[in-house]
Amino acid sequence: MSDDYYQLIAESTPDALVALSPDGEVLQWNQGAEHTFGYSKEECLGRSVFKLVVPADLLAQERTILQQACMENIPAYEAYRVRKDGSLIYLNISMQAVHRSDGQLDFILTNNKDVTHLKTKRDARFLEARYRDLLDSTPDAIVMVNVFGRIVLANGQAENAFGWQRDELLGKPVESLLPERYHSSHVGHRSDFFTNPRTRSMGAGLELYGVRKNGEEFPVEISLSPLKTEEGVLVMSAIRDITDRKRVERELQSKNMELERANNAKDSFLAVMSHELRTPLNAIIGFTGTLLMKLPGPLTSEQEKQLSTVQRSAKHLLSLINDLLDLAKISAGKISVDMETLDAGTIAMEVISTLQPAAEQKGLQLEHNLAEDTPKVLADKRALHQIILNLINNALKFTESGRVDISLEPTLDDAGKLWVELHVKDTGIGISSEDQANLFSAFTRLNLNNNAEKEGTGLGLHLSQQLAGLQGGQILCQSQQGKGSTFTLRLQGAEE
Amino acid sequence: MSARILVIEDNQANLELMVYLLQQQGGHEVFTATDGIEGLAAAEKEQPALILCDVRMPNMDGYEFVRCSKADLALKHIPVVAVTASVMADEQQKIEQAGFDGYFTKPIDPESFVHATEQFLSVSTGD
Repeated sequence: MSDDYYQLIAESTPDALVALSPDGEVLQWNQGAEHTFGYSKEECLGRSVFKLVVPADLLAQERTILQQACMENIPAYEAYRVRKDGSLIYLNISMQAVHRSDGQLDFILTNNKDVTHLKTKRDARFLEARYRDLLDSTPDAIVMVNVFGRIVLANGQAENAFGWQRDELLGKPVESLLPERYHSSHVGHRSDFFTNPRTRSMGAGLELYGVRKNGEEFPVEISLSPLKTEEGVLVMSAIRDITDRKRVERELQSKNMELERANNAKDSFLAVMSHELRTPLNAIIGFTGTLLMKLPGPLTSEQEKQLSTVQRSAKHLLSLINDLLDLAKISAGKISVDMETLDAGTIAMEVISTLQPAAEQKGLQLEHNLAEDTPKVLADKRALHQIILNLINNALKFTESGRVDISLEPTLDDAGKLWVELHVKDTGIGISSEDQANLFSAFTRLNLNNNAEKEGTGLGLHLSQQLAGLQGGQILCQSQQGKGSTFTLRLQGAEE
Repeated sequence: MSARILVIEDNQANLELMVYLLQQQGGHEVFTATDGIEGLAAAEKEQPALILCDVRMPNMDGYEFVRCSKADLALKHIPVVAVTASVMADEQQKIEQAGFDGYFTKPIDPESFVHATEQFLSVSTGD
């Protein structure tokens, strides 16, 4: 028979016919081989056939088989190969040694039959029997894929998510569940996974999409895990349709932006309101002041008494505005405390000296016992001043006779942490245990006798407690009705 | 010692209060304007020793006024003190950076206002 005749036979079979030298060099490469492997004849002649072998650790084994085939007839076997595009195929391979007339080995003829589709069917049958019931009981869509990227198992949830019947899904390339723009890159990723199989979430940090039978895309979250079986490695992908979650995320985002806008509006409203409320107060407090200073002329004692009431009320209104503004700033997170190491005694002394005249006027003794060696505290200067002022002010306000004592005391808590406590102890009317429960709430004015003339915003203690909390501290109250109260400001000690 | 003081304030009641205190208690010669534009004209004409200036005003606010007066060779030596009803921290910071020589917050304390104002006068006579 002529060479042409052989040529004709070789080119008419769909199988890959490849002639090899004993060390694996490609000598002939037919059209079937071009089709099967994706490489042209020119790309392969003279090159090693072993570059088609996967995984790489089977290389030695394949070399041995070829060596064996040089010497004896060997049975056909099945093996994976990698195509030029990176995809894997499953081949039925037979080898035949061809000798020259002088008996010397000429070449090895290998016949490679692509049986990928048969393997896929086998995989599907195998998996169906073993895993289907199990997978139908999971909440996620599960699609199992073999090394060729063919779907070999899908659960009911996968049918629902992608809109395909199970029978339609089996044998399909897994890419048909992805938007077309991802197809080509996915083939590569898929082969990478088989080379280095480990459980992971797919495309972590990327937005992934699936596509339904009707072409509709939907966002998904996918986790991949390899499954080693006697039929080879398979990939199990658990797919979660996150359309609802994405929608909620988007809604949350736009809600957040709305809230931020509202918050900004509230802030500028606060700034404007504070400004607008202070402007008329300036004239009220100012002209009441000029009258009381008797700049325009003398006053009768009744006029002076009434004007003093106007002045007190106006100042009360001002402190109400200030407290409200402070509270609003705290709730908006606009107050930041500037923590530094401070001597609480020094600040308490400043407050005591400003309040001493008021105490004397009321006939109260305002005393302090502030040891100089008390540990320093970690606090914000302005806030600390404001709290101490509020606590001593309250004590003076609610004590008709007797004394108000200020003292400092370091303590260690159970964890060994250092705290410094400032006590403000009065001999006033005291607070019932029911009232103590609400003491630090906003706008709590206690049900005290004769409190009609006691001025207060009802915000002071609430604000002080908030400010103490901002500094990592706390205000505590100990009181018995009729026997006076002790308010304790607990501050973080500054460790040396 | 009597001084020439310009007060710029759009709120009539607050303007009257400051004028009254400065004249009655301090014995100063006081000129007035109700926005920044009027204020600049008055400052050039009267050449006061001190300017008290509200911050939020129509037409030209206090920030713009102090920017113009400090850029004007004929006015830049005159101390400008802001009188503001704003207590928000960010606004106070803005005032400190705007070029004012100092600021008072409203409501002003009528007992100390004149004395505090005169502190800025003694500074200006130094240079």
